[in-house]
Amino acid sequence: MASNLFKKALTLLTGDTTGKVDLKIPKKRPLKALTERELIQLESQIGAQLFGPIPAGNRREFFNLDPTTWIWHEEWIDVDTGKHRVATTRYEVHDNGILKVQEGARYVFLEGEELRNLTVAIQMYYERIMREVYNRNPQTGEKLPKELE
Amino acid sequence: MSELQLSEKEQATVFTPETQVDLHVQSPFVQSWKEYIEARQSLARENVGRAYTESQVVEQAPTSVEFIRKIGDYVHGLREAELPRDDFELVA
Repeated sequence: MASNLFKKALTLLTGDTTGKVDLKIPKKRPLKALTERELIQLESQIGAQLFGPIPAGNRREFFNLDPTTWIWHEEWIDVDTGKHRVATTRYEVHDNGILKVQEGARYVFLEGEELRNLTVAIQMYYERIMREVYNRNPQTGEKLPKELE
Repeated sequence: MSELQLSEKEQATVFTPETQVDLHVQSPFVQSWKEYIEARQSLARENVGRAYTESQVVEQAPTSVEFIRKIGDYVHGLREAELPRDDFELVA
């Protein structure tokens, strides 16, 4: 299951072989014309902005993969070695907590400040994608009036 | 699409037991962590009459696993609802 999740996440992240993904919501185009992957990429463009400026040359993604999985993906160039580095972190929602899963690291349940920061990030993610991707009021879930589109 | 049913506490982060502050920012869009903190600090000043530090705002954010699960369920359901449907019937 874990490898499938990583595979799905990585496909979403790297599936576009043409280079930079820069989806825009067409004004006249209904969201129903977009695929799940495209919707996630739109959400991730917002998610990537939630944690401050992204250093030049870096790539960051943050998105909801499925009901119980959130993904943080970061790519950067190591200043010491000049090598391309990649880190993908998966946050899994379990009954007893949020499990942080990283390749090569010990799995840990989030607590304290890190848990609070993730929760705030998810709340921000929710508020922004509701308005900016799905054109809905985050409080009520209702569609926003046309003039706000 | 699954229904988002947050508790009152989750919908309105509680700064004090006596005073609930609606932390959903109506407008403009929250664009960054800094704006998120500032918007909530502003709401706290208006509703509680006190200034809150960034760490106090963050400390008051809901942290329950259930909250994160509800958001994940809802976002996923919303996305699914936006996907195109193949409307066809299987004929025996």
